[in-house]
Amino acid sequence: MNKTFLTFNKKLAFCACLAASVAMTSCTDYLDKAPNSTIQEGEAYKNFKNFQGFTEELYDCIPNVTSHDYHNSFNLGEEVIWEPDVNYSLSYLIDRGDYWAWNNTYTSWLRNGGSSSGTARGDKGFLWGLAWDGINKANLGLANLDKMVNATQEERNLIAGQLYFFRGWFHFMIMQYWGGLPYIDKVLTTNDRLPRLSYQAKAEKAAEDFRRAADLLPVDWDATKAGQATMGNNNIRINKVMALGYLGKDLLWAGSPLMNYESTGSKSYNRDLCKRAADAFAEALEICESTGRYQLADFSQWSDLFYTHNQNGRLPGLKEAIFYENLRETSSRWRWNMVNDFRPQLINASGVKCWPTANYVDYYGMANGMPINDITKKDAESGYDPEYPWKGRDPRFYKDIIFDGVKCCTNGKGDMKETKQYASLYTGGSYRVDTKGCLTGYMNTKFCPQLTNDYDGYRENNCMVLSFMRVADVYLMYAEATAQGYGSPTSKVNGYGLSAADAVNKVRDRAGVGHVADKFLASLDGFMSEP
Amino acid sequence: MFDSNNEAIIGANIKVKGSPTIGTTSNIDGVFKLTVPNEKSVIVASYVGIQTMEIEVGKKRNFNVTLTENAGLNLGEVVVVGYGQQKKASVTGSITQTTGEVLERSGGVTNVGAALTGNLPGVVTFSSTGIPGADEPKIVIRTQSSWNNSDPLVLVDGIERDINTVDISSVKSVSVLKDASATAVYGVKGANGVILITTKRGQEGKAQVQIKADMTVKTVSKLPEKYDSYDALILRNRAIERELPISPGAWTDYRPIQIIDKYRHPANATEWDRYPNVDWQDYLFRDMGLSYHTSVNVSGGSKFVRYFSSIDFVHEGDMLKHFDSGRGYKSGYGYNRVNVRSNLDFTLTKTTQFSLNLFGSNGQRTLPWGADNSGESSSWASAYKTAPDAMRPVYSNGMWGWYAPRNADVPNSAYLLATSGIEKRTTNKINTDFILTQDLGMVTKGLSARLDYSMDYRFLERERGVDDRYHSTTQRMWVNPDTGQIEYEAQVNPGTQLDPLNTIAWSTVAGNVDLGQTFRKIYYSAQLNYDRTFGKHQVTGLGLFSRESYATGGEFRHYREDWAFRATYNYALKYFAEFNGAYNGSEKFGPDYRFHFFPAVSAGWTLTEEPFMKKLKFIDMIKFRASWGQIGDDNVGGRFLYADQWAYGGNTLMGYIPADSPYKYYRLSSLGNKDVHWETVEKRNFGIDYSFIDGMLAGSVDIFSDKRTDILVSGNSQAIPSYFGVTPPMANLGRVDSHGYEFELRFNKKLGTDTRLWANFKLTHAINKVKFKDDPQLKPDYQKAAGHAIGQTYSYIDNGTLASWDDMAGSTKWETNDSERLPGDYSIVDFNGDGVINADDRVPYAYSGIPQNTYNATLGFEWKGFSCFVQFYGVNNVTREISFPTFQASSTVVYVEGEYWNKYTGTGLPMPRWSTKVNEANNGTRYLYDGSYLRLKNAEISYKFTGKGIERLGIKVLRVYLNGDNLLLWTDMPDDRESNFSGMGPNGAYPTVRRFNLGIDLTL
Repeated sequence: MNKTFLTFNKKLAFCACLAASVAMTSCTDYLDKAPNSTIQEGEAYKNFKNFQGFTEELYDCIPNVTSHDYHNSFNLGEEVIWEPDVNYSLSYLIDRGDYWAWNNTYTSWLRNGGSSSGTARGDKGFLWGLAWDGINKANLGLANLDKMVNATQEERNLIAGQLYFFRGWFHFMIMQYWGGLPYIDKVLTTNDRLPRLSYQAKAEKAAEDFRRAADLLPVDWDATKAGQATMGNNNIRINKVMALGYLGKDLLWAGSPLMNYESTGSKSYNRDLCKRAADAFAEALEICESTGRYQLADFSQWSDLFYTHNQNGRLPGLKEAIFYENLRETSSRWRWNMVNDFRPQLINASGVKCWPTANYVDYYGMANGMPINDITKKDAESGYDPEYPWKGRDPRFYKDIIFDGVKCCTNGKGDMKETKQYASLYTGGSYRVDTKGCLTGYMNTKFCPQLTNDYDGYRENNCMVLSFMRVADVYLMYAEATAQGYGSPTSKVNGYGLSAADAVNKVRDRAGVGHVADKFLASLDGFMSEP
Repeated sequence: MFDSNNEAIIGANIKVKGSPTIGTTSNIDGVFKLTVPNEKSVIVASYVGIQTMEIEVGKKRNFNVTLTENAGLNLGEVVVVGYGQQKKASVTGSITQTTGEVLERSGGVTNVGAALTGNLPGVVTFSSTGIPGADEPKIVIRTQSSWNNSDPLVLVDGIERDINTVDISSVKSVSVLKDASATAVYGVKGANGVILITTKRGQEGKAQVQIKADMTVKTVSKLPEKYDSYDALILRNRAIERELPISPGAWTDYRPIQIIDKYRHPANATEWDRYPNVDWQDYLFRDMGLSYHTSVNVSGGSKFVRYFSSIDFVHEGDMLKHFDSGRGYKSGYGYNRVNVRSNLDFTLTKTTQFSLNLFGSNGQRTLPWGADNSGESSSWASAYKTAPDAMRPVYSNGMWGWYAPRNADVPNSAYLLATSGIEKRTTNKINTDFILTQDLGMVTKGLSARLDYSMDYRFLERERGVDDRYHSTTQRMWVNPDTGQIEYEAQVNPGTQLDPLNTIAWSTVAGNVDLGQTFRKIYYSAQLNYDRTFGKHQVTGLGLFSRESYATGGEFRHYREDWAFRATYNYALKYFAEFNGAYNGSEKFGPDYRFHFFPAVSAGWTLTEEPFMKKLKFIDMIKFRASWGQIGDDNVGGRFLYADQWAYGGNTLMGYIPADSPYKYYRLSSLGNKDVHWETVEKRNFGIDYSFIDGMLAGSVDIFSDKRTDILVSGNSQAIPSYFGVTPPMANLGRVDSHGYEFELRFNKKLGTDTRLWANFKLTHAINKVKFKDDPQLKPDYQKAAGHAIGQTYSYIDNGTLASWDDMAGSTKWETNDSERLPGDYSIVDFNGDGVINADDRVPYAYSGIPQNTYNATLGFEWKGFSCFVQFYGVNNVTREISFPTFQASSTVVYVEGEYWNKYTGTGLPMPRWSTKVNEANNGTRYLYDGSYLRLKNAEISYKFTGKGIERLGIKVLRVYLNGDNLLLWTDMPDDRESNFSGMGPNGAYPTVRRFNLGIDLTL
């Protein structure tokens, strides 16, 4: 038996050699093939074209506020009210104490998640998720700026400027809703745990980034060499005015009583921050006025600021809009969505209805510039008369709001009752019955044409895109910051021609509204009460 | 000395009766020599697994002894193991095996996965849908021990393949490998257990033709009961009454009894239209669906070639009625499949055998255009969620109905199915195996080599048929019950001011190959086997090298390289030892973790081979087995997890009319973790096989314990703050322990010559517990994954109902919607005692979705040609969410749930809400059901005709049988599904079925 075992061992050795020789010929290369076929890291940074490709994904991290899903709820204050049985709108849920609805209801645009590279509007209703994603990308880009070897200084500045701007901007957007959080200015490892900053501390960090961006970026990309490749399509690429506008906005928010209280314990405006905000706004406005890059739109084009109709999907905003929400599916997203929400079921069968509140509508003052103090009382000073509540009002009122008696259908077939053709918004009127009828007596025409209904075709071909910042906005913020920072409604920033009150009046002039009355210019509180 | 297969028995004990000192053993050729005291001596020959035999010596001097195997332990019975087979007697791992015949009696079931149910201890299956052609169950072996992937590795003829690449009639055996010893040769793929399916092969002999034909009648098994319009509206009135204090506006929805009565007793056709009362389940589903199955196979062969060829045809009919769309076609579901297989074995030389397996399959599903297996299907959703009074599917004037107030949420499935178009999806599969086996006896006796080369292809063609998505229009109407007015869906065209027209504008489409689904695979291996007996020592060895690469669609090919080996030793079939393992390479991991070795050892001891046991005649066999080993699992989401992945492509929008920017994205699409590696499970198994009283009672017991470590936790589940900004990389962080036992008892008794009574009982108990899953530190323990089962159900806990306003005042408030709380709502337990009911009060409740216990009991009886059996299958300790909320989508859909709360008794389920919104906590455990069930899984009566009568017709055997699947069901659940992975999840799916099957089986 021993002999058998011996021969067996010999043979086994032979087999082992055989096996070993097979093993030699195999090597781990076999398992290496696929990974070598992927894109190498350095590719993204090596020149302007690639790095700009890397950077432009940040533009798609900008959230979609108005139409990421059906029936978005983006007015969380008292502006609007949704039909009463709609229990998934964010404003409904927040009214009932469910603050976690920011992340739990699809009508919220603040949620965690989303996809920066996704191309659907539904990928973009995620401020929390996309902002942190964007911050990470910006940091990754900034950490690799030195790998951009094949580029001019101008190209380097453009890339760096955009990255600094977005890092600041996403932090700013998050701060607005969640207050002071860590400021992420490097690529983190999974082990990093950072403390929460105070609001002002975080805002200062964002301000640094906005300042850097403002220093690096041009006023208009069309005027740069690198921008030639995309001549005429550079309207939303980040520029100096955007950076300055947000620098001011960031500082003004930080200097507001609410945030000043959070950070310092004082319930008043922080003068220093307001001053710096005013300076930034002044710088931005000065550039706008001197270059005409951005300017207030003419009042005749008012609706084009908010939506365009039958203009081939052209963005609204004219030269006034500075910074937009996300642009995915702009030509179609309003149609299959909220355009149905602003008219009663009587003339627009589908949709989940949303109405401007009467309280909010009352803020539209009189054409002479005076506010309405009590909607129920006649007032000689302003000329308001409750018997004719819609007479002599601020011209913007007539552009934004539909009230009782306004024509809502053309009656093309000639068989329509007048109570259907004209807004029957009186109590018990045909526009106000049942759960899909108008609750408040007012309807919105700021975001949709007056003749929006099932019959006249005005629901088609609308492009409604919200501006996060407009020139009018910057004038008003300048007014607030200057008044608070420099002490009075008549103060100015050195070297800039307009006082706080002048800035407000400039916006009023455009709409043909009377100036802020002198009695409101006597004190800061009086001035602040006059929007 | 030979066994019944005429093979020499080596090492048999031969002794003289009464003189235990005189004895010998048979040698390697089965020969023995023994000098006996005298002619009256009686020789006793014994061997493991063989019936002890006594021979009177007498005058003879040469004996040809043929021993017959014990009934309880068939020595010849082989068990398919990884990369080979072993005699059952020498198996030391935990392996169970069943045969094709067992699967064939599963009553009209057409996929192998479903036929496994109950037939193999330790194999747990869950079905979730009855869609023809896509009703495969999910399979778990023993229990889950990872949250990433619990699917067992399935190999068909040794190659990793989909379990549906084989039809039941071609299955020879199914072997399930459960412990480390059995699965170690599969190394990094084997952690979830392995299912080995072996197909039939031809035997030398005359051609044998087998023809089988089945006709199956299917009925819908169980759907949630809904109330009719009358009861539903009465209940809505009650709900409105209850909510009046907080929602007076809902009073407008209140209906007087005179109106409600019209739903049951409409006076005329107008009222019949205006007050519908539709039983949607009855309207949509057939009383019975039909399926057919036919297979023919021919097998036989000569010395040179042996063949097994089969063709198998399956037709699965639809349970949905096919409505006339009015557009010239009828849509619905269906499935036709043809499989052909040819397994050929050529004996090229005395020592060389070449085998060729060819398999082709053409499976064509018919579905509504674009239908999916998961997600909501509008084709059947009405059966679950459309209210009886919402609309008529078709009004008395022949016009389709729609529910004008909530068209999207309250669908008319009859219309949607009828006008959905018809899509045919065809899956073609071609699998080819080439196997060359060479006996290397010339090198050393017992050595052989085997080379395998396999190629698999799969193609999917979709979108063939009738595309009716966009252009056809059909007017639909709804009669508003409040006004009696008809509301039409299609409005007057605003541009032309013309009335809408019904247009028929579908097109036939030729279909296209879905390139993204095209699958191809190449596998090759070289294998050395050694099997030799030296006296009482038997040694076997196996060494194997294999590589495979595969790809689906346009992806880069996946690569894998495996080395496996096994060495076994046994001494006289008494003591066993086995050492095996695998050295695996996987492209999924970084260079440092690319290859790893997974070992296992096992040992066995057949107690009954010890001399002192021989006296105990009633014990045929007792064998102990124990194994330990480490097995891996690399089948986790994502490839190249070790490296950062960059992607190129995509543009943002720029310009005044937004259009793609010319700058394409470069983006870091996922972060890598260079330390990422496989999951490892350390498996321990201890088993006993037993057989008593000449095999009358036999079976096995297995106890096991698995510890899985390095379980990958995906970035989103790690305790890493949002401000990290991107999905963190996967990391090997998790740990899960699982343990349990299996018990199998078979009973087999012959009563006389013609009668046999048999039974078997199988029980599997398996539980798992997460030890670590990187839960956030500050999460309360009861909400951490750690300490609970994988997939543990969480719920608010209800503790009775709030019987009165007093109760309500004394109860914990809800965090949201508290103002809408009412008496009669659940009293929800404020688990963390913080004075408010919110998400922190969701606590582990009951079990997970995987049953802890599965039971199977089969009882059979045979008498001459007649045989019958019943098989029961049941599970318990399982929880399933089944969510059918009454009044969903503001419609009057009401499910039969039991008694509702009323103020007189103060008990009962909370009344569903009509016009107010409650906190989700108020559902409590309402929609969580005890998922236990007991089924009469299969039953069969058959008669086998043999003898002259049928031989005259040229038939050797004729068997006629009537059997069924899922015949009776006992459960608390409102539907018959075992899991929620298909359809609308907990909200319903294409219904599962009950099958009655009549079949005939002819052997020519």
